[in-house]
Amino acid sequence: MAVAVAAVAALSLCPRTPAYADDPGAIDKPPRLVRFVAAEYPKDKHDAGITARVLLSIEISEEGNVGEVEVVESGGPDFDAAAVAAARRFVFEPAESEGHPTPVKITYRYDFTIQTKIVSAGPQVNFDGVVLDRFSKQPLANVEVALGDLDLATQTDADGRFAFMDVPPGPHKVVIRHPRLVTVQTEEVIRPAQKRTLKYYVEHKEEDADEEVVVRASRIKKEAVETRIRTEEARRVPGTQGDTLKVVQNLPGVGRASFGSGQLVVWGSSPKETRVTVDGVEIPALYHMGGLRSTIHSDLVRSIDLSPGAYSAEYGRGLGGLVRIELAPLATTTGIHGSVAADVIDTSAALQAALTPRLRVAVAGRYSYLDRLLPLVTSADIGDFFPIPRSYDTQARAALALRKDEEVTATFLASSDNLRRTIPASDPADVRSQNNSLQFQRVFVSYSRIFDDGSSVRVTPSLGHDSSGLEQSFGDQSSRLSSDTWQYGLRASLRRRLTSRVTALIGVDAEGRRTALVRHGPVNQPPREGDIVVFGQRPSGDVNDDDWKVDQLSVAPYATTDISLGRLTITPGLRFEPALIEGDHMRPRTFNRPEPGYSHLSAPENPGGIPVLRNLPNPRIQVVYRTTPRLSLTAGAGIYGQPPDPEDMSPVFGNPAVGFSRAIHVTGGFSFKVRPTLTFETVGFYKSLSDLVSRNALGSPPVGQSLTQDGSGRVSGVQVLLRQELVRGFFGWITYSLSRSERRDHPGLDYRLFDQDQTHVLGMLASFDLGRGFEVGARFRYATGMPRTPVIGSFKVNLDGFYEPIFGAHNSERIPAFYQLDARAEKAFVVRRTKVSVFLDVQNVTNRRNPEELVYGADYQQKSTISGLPTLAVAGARLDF
Amino acid sequence: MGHHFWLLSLATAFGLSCKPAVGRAPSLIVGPEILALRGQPAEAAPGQNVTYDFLIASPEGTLTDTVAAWDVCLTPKPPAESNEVASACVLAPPAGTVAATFQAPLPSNACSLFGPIAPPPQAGQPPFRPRDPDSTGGYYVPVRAVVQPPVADRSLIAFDLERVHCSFSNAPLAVIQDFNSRYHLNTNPHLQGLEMLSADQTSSDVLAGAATASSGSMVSLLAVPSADSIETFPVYDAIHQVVADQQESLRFFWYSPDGEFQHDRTGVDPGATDGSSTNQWTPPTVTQSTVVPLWVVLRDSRGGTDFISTQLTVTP
Repeated sequence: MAVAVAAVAALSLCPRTPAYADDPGAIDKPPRLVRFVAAEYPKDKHDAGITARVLLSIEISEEGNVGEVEVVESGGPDFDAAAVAAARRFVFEPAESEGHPTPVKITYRYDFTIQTKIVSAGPQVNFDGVVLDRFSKQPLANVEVALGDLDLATQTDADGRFAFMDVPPGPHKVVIRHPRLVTVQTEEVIRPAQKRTLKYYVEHKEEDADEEVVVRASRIKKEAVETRIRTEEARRVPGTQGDTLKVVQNLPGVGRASFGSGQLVVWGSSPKETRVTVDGVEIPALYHMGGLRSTIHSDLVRSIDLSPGAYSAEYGRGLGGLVRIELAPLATTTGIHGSVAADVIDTSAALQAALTPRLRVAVAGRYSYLDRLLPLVTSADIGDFFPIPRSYDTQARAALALRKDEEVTATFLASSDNLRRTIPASDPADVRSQNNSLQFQRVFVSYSRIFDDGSSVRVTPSLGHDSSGLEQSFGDQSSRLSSDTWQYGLRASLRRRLTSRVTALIGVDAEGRRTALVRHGPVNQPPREGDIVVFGQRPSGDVNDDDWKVDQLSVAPYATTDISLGRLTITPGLRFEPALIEGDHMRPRTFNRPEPGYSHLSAPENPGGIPVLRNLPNPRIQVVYRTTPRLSLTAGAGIYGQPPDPEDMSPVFGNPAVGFSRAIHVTGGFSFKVRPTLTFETVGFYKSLSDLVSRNALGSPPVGQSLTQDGSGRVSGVQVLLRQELVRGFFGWITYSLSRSERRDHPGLDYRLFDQDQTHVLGMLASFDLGRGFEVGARFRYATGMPRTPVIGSFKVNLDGFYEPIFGAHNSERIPAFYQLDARAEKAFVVRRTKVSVFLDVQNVTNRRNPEELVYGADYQQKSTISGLPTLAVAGARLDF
Repeated sequence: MGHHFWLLSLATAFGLSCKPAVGRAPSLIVGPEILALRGQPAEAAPGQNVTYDFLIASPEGTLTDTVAAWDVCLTPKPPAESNEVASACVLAPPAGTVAATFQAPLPSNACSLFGPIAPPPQAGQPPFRPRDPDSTGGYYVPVRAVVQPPVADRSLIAFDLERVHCSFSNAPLAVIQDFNSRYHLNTNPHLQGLEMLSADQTSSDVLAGAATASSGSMVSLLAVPSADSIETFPVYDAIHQVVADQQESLRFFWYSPDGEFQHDRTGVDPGATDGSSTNQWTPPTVTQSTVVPLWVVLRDSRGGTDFISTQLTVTP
């Protein structure tokens, strides 16, 4: 052992005026310490490397014994106690005055210091350290740490530690590698007679990404446009109340959703066109109703990836963006760890434990109570204007390590939202009520293995159930739509490096859905994109009913190849996505004859006039060209299809014959690393949409054709991102999007603005770690208001006595612009082994009355706006243990 | 886990309620306004004559000598439109009869244009989708009245939705026979009385012109329909293929150019035995006796309408 550490009392005798001497100046011999007793160094302080100084006042009798000992200047309670205890055992040679012993009081400084000694005792460890996960800070076991130039290697132990003995002084090449980790290569200098102890933070490898051997261990970006946020950053974003997944709303390319909707508007696409996956399994909602919380506990999330378009062939069935939630590996450390958090919105908890070295489990959940809490602090009918659902979600995971780099993980996700509200009125015909619900459950098992040659395989079968209900009544006019879906799927992929430059990925993405739906009400309720309607307008009085079933089975094989040609990386891919679509009746049911069902095969077609090409797999490609280590050019393109929504396939309310809608994405841009952690990116994009479903414009549409599929759209724009990654406690980013999204409901019509088009979207956020557990952050958002169709007049309908609007040009005006400043402050401290964080998240600091929607008077002669939330302060606490 | 922990949860939420209150109260008459249209009879078969009149109010009182341009709309509403009436009918220039009242037969093909009988399909094309009924099983023909009041800067447009009686089909024969035997054409409700109950519990007949209210002192107004105003009618439930009886609901719309009603509208639930409805009205503050016009429009849930024009005297 080369290092000896001791608690050493640094003696400093400082005689002062004797307390009992008649004449202070008569002391002619000060007391002399003849027996020193070393104080016991408080162990926790010693281990933490904390030193201290204690100034004591000591009474010394005329016999030289120690009497009263008092602390004059404290070094801390435990240091004080140790110093006093030691001083009481001191023995002095008494002071003398005029030749006689005399009592005195002296001050005595006791220094607690740590000394390090290096002794030669044979071979010595002079280079050691620990390997930790870069983001979770958890130790990583079985990681190879090699000194490349010396041909030495070792593996980390269960605590992530490693050590080398007698490494020759000088620079050495250090390589840290593991099949699941991005290889890190760096250089360390060992100096003579000095030990070098280091911490290495490494990052897990992605199955779909090649690694880049750099010190910072960042990976090569394969998607042409992609933004990845780690949970550690996301949790600290102001306005999210610590909810990791809410950060998606702040990413580039994402428009601002209407207040309370929680929808994702990505690159001018409808929310239904953007898919959200969790470890590859699709979920119907990223957020609970109202958008206040996500449906998955943040502790289980490792990262969030947003690809607004032109993503690779691994994913499909969507015309818009792709949000991929990657769940975090379960903790390998012993004991039970977790968190408990509570604020005004809900309470949540998460627990993780390693039951055995191979079996790890985690559970998490959340329950909301905002709907019951808010009426206590504001008006009781707050829910009439800001619908607040009652929500809960729960998750459970278990991971079993089968052998080295082979694991089976089972995951269960469940979420539930219910929203009920009734607005009473003196006229029963004016009583309005709403009852919305959405529940989903997913269970999936994921088998993954990484082979010694770096190949990997992953198989994920899944089963899910979705249930949604929407009931609305406006007096005696009611509408109802309920949907019940069983979903089953299988994702399987094999990734293999074919040559040093070529890596191939093949897989299959199969998904089946059986949906049963029931609908009652007007054919134009609920409204859909493109409907001309004003907020709060009474639904038309006509009603109909239908119940129908739709089966969709889609088996989509895909293949991609990463071709690395020096600075150029090309990832071409193909995806073939046919779907068998069946329904139980093609035409509205009649009382006297059975209506036959239908079955047809549909697939997203490639554009162009060559029939043989039309039905081939859809091509996709991503290209990254690194012109310099700091500058990369990116481009991407692809053809995407989205199967029909079963809700649109009613013979009464929709059209059973609708098939795939199609989109072509084209992007191009560049990424420039201003600094290693500061990146500037800009991307231009264009999307062409075709075969969109819209309402039939005919006054008398044919049977089963209330909807048609001849709509089209186009979206173009540019987005900019300046991002500072988390470093030295600071991170932040500035995003700006300029875009225009248009739709044309039928050929021959003019293009109009998309209902949720936003020309300008600006977001700025920053978070600072001030030290001592203090963090502060701020977020600013600006967004152009969404288009609306102006009301230019009104007329009265005698049937119900209400006015109805006369509309101007479709979507030719906008809601006023939105801008808001949010702030967040957090203080974290440790109580024993529990980390306690208290936060205050203030939304709309400036109390701006942001217009959220246009509203009109009863006769449509006056116009106003509904304002969003004023200043809202949410405080809460979180415990990590 | 053996750890003790504490939680801090503090909520500060203020000023959350942002209720929009846009424009005037619907019961307050600030300019010329068509309050109601009425077709007589309230429900008719295709080709049957219907006579229409209307009630138009102004702050000074009922505009009795006003005429309207009348026409019958022949364009069905596309399912893509959210209003009750096709925009083509709303925006078409007035070209019909100009008169205070209007008589016209319902179109002979009204049940095809606006009802359950789908138009004949074109050769090789699928059949057309029939219209959907309202919740009372009714289909309606829009009849437009366009009024250009002398003091208004814009035309006033109102539509009467005249209930058209179409033969009941697409159901088992027994159900059709049952339905037809129980169905009676809708008739307009009748508003036969309007009483005022003062704070001192004295009652007066407003329609007789004897009602006087004190300035600023809230009074109760009781609208009394005739006993036969609430009718019972059968409705076909296509899902369960049964006929069930339904009772009309009544709605009262209150108007005045001055003072303030507690409710703009009041109503009577389906199933109520007494069709009467009460509203509170606070007279305006006056310095001398003032006559204040008052209107009440009564509508049943099948499109039947009645209305009264009267006035109250408000004393200081």
